[in-house]
Amino acid sequence: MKNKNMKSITLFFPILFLMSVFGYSQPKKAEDIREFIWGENDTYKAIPETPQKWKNESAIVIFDNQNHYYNKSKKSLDNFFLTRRIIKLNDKAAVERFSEFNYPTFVIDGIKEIKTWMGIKIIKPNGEVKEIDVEKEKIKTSTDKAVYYYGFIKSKVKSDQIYKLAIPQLETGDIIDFYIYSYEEYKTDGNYVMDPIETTLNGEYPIMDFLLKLKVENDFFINFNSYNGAPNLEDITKPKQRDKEYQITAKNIEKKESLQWIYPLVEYPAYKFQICFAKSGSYEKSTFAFLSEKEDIVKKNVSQDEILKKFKSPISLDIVEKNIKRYFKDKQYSKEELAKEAYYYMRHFYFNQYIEAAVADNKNLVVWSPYEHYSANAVVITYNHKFLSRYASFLKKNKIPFEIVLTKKRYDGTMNDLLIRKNLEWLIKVNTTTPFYAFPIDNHTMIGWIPSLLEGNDAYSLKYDKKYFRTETIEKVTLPVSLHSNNNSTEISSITFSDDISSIQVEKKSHHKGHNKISEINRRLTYLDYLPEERKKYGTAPFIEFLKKKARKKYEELNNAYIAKFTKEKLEQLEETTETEYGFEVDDYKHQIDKTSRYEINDDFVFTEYYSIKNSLIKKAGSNYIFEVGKLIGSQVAIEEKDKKRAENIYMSYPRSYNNEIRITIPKGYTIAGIDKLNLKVKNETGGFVSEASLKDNTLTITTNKYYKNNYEPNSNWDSMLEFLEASYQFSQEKILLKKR
Amino acid sequence: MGKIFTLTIFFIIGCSVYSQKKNNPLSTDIQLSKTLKESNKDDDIAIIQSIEEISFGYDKKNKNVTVTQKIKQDYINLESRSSIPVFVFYDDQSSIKKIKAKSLKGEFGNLYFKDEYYSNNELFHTDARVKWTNLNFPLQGSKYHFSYEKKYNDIKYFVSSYLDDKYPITKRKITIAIPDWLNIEIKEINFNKLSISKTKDYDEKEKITTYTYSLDNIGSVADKENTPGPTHYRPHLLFLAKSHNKNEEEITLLNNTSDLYNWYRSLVEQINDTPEAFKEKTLSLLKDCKTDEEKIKAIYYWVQDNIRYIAFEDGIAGFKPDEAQNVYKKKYGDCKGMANLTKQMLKIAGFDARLTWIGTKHIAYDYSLPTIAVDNHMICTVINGDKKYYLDSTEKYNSLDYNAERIQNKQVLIENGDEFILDKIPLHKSIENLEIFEGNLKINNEQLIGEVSRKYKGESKSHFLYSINNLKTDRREQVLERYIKGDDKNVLISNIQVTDITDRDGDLSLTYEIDQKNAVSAFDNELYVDIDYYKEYKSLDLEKRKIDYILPYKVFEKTHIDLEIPLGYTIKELPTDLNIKNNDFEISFQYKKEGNKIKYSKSIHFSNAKISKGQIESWRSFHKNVKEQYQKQIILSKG
Repeated sequence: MKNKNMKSITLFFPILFLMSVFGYSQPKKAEDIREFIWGENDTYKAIPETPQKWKNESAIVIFDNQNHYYNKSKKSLDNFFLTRRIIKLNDKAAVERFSEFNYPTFVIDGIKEIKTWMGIKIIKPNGEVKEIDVEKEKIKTSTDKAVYYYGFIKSKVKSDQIYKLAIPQLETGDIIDFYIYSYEEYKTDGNYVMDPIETTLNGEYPIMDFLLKLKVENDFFINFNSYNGAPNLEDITKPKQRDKEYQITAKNIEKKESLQWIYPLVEYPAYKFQICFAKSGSYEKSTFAFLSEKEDIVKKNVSQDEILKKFKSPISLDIVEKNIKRYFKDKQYSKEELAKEAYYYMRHFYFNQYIEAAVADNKNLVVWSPYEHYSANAVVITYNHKFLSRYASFLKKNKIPFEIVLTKKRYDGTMNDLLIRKNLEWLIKVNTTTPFYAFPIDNHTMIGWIPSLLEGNDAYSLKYDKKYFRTETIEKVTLPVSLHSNNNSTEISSITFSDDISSIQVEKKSHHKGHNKISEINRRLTYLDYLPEERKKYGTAPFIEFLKKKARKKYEELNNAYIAKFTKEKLEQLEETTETEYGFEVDDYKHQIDKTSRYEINDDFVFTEYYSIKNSLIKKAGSNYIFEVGKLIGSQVAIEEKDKKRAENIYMSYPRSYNNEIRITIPKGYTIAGIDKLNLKVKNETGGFVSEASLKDNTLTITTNKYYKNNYEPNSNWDSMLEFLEASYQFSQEKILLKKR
Repeated sequence: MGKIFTLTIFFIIGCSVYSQKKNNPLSTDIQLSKTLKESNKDDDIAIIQSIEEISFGYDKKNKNVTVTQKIKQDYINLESRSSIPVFVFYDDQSSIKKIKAKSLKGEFGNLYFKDEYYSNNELFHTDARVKWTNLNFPLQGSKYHFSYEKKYNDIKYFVSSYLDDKYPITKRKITIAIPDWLNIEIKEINFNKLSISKTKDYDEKEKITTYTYSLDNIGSVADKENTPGPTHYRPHLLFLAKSHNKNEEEITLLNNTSDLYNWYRSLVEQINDTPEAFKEKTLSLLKDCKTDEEKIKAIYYWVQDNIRYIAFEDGIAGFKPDEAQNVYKKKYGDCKGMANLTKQMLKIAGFDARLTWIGTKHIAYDYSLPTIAVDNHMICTVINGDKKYYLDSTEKYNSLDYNAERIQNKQVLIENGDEFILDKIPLHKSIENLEIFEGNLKINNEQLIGEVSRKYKGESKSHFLYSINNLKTDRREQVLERYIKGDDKNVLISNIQVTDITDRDGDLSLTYEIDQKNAVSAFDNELYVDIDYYKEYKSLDLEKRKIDYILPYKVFEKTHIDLEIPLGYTIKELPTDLNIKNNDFEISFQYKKEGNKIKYSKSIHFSNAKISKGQIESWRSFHKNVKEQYQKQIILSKG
């Protein structure tokens, strides 16, 4: 009895104490933080048993708690983040994983300050609790004070400290209970948008109890939503409580391991949130986020009407630069041609024409302010909205109808789930006779090309009034998905053997189009390959021509040295790419661009590679040779036995197809056997693999065609996909016999 | 104010004019660069001049002999354009001054050196710091000058100077100015065939003897994997500071092994071990042990399993063991802490256990050299009657009767009160590491199916256990599978059985059933069988190797595969046997028919855990045959 009374007294006292200290502010001293987390109010003082079903897991997260507290002071936001985890360590791997910690404390004067505290307790299997003296054990590993430049001001000094901690006393079977508590101070005048958090509920280890708490003062806005069955956010604000408080809880969460072709945020229970600070009406308007009407309403999604209201005048439509007007002045184009030509002209004018200056700048080719030779503000076009504005202005001026299309990346879900403004992707749809999409420019973007991550997603189309003064209507649309036949790679290889059959010579011509082309162009083309033709087309001068005689001589010399090194390294890189694709080494590698093809998405980008294969593909068998011919189509997706069972839907990059034509000259004095195994055919609703082999005179010709019809397959189609994936893998394992006559 | 302003402007303009005009390499430099590239085809950078001046001073306050090492190096670019980092390490016992790097024409000014904590994967924490910068060479023939002064507060920590570098050096000069009051011996190590000139001058006035070592055209250090430690092959000077009489009185530094031992001992004597803290634990470990050997094992294995190795190299902590109770409590320690805990626990058990210093295989020296460079490790020795047990608790899954390759045959310095004992750790034979692969396979369609049994001993076993035990329990099955077949989709493994993976005393065995697709090719009436799955050492061509290739241990692997000849088939062709034997390796491939079986035997044996420099050529030519051998097929024909 006596004991019981004692307990109630000790409980009562700390609650009062907590209220007084933390009622309106969060702790900022090590001992207060400790008390706050592990004090009398800790609901995890007694650790529950872990479930039997997880006894073979490497570790079990007993409690995963994350608290975010957002406060404001006069000139800054004072935010506090707590991560506390209680984890049972079932094996050595888990002990290793949690035996060392790193945590930072850093300051960027006048911008941001972060301080971090840690607390660690170890609970032994017999219940004994050992608290680690973090202050004593931590080791400071600071780097020297790095100087950060803000414009011409050199006075901003960032100091940066990383603390390292080796956790003592940790053994298999222990429970580790640790917290990382950080205080972050952001300087702000009237608004600040925090980085969003978008994550699945599931993690690397199974979780018994998950708790996320958000606590905000007024002027903080919360956008929060749960997806795919994750629990909803609850309002747990007590009556008369000044701050708003929310939580999300979940229990019994299985772990998820990494998997091919998955978008976790779309497939697994997940939650997303973003906190914004915005002082008053005017700050609220200028905040880069979708804010709810009032701070105490949690925003769960953004409606079609809201979008229209928010984007009445989404971009400026009156920026047409003189150079552009001048360039198109006497050109006779149809509206469609004009819209397309303008896109490519802008790609050059605002972006690619600066490449040489950028190289000179980045690679120290000793040229003073290389950008000064161009019209001053042009390079800023690398911001997407600046391009959209300039391109749309041009369309408007030339009376070419267009609309603005807003969408999201596929891994982030549909537009119905829109929550975070920076997740929006912007395109322009040009409504000429044949309408087309224009995506903000990059080195090789093309008319009609939509990034594969946006294809097939739903979108909002914002249509203007007749005078293009304001957007007037909004409509839900679906972006088109490209065809597998348009995202095609066709490789034609000629194969000859050395006289002693010890090596193979390959000449391979590759044609790529669609999305396959975009990735190949980015990988293979350098500005040296395409800039001269662009300059010729648009009549702009090479960088060197801006330079005066002496500077020119110097630049030329340094630039030539740079190009020599760059070209050499690029070739080595391409050789490695080919080796990676095959999975074996190649020698005597040469690479040649045949057609750059950067103006029409479905035109072929063509290049030829020449190389020899010396130590692979041929195996001696008496006087005959086994030739691993299947490997010539490159490494194929190999689904291992354990992965053949799949519960998830299948999310792929885009529909695509791969064709191979391999012409093998049979060496003199040899015949071949085994070509019947090279004829395979699987076709179904998800895709297919078809191969054929034929022998004419001394040439064996093998053709293959592999295609994935869609960028998404429901889980029920997984078995169909496996059928053609298995066929293509099996083909890659096939061999033929070169038989001595 | 005005003056400073004008000066600044002048300086900026001055700089720009200067740089526009003068940063071209001279034609002679371009020519030099081309000539150097001819003889150093794999190098992008060369050092045309490397001057090192070593001098000695005396710190009255701390009564220490100090050392100043002045380094000046000129780099030249051999490629069209290059970029390299240059760096200097220092720690609590040393400091860097006057560090400077600038292009020889001065167009980029003095470069800014970053000063950072040195992080290293193998060390959790060290007091080492690094000052570094990047040298960007814009043109072939571009040059940089790099110089600094490194000061050692105590001559004990100044041990050696290497004559070669990561880059080839055209001219190398080291001068060592030794004052009369200092007795220091200079050992010339790995000078072998290099033509090094050495002069000696005496300055009567200053009473300083100056030794000058010069040599030309030194190739770059072969920077490759699996190399022996640098003291084994790189030319260097080792400095043995014996004594000084700066203050008229003879003060011994490290004159002989006793002095080194006494210093180590003085550090050990500072430790305040309180074995009470782990007495109860120790006694509980001994509870069921009957023999002495069982008791030693119980403690040794407990430390191996329960104390994590986390390395600290922090000032004197780099030499002084942590107190045993700390290591016990924290459950982690470095080698010294672990050795000390092992010793103290064994003492509780009544054994004569002692701390033992050792230089691992990485270091070429032995204790005849009184220098701290002689060792890098600590273990615990138990003297039990006539028998000595050497316990290296950092070697996870090592059995009591086995000493890891890295300490075998190495000299040890064992504590013995005021004296010390020098001894040598026994050498183990490769047969103790034997790894056996036995397969009983048959052909089913175009698949190879059957049972496999594998056995591991000695270090092949501890390596296996270490990798398996550190993996997540829930993935262990998958991991064993991955260990067996990598990510080869053609292989299906089932029914994996493995003996107790916590037992390091018995032999380890692993058995499983295998189903390997695409291992047999059928053409017409013939079957072509690729019998060897692992094809060990297939890629080890050692093409540009110049120095010894070091293996992790004395590898001895035997493979026996019995392949059943399918009914109705006869052998058309078996690959021919292949053998080689020399001092470093013995490898054989054999194919025989016995009854209805083909017996394939392969034996790979590296008896010295290395392919020494002298055998590299022999390896290269044999390796060509090995590659071909692995491609050869067994041919069976029908009828």
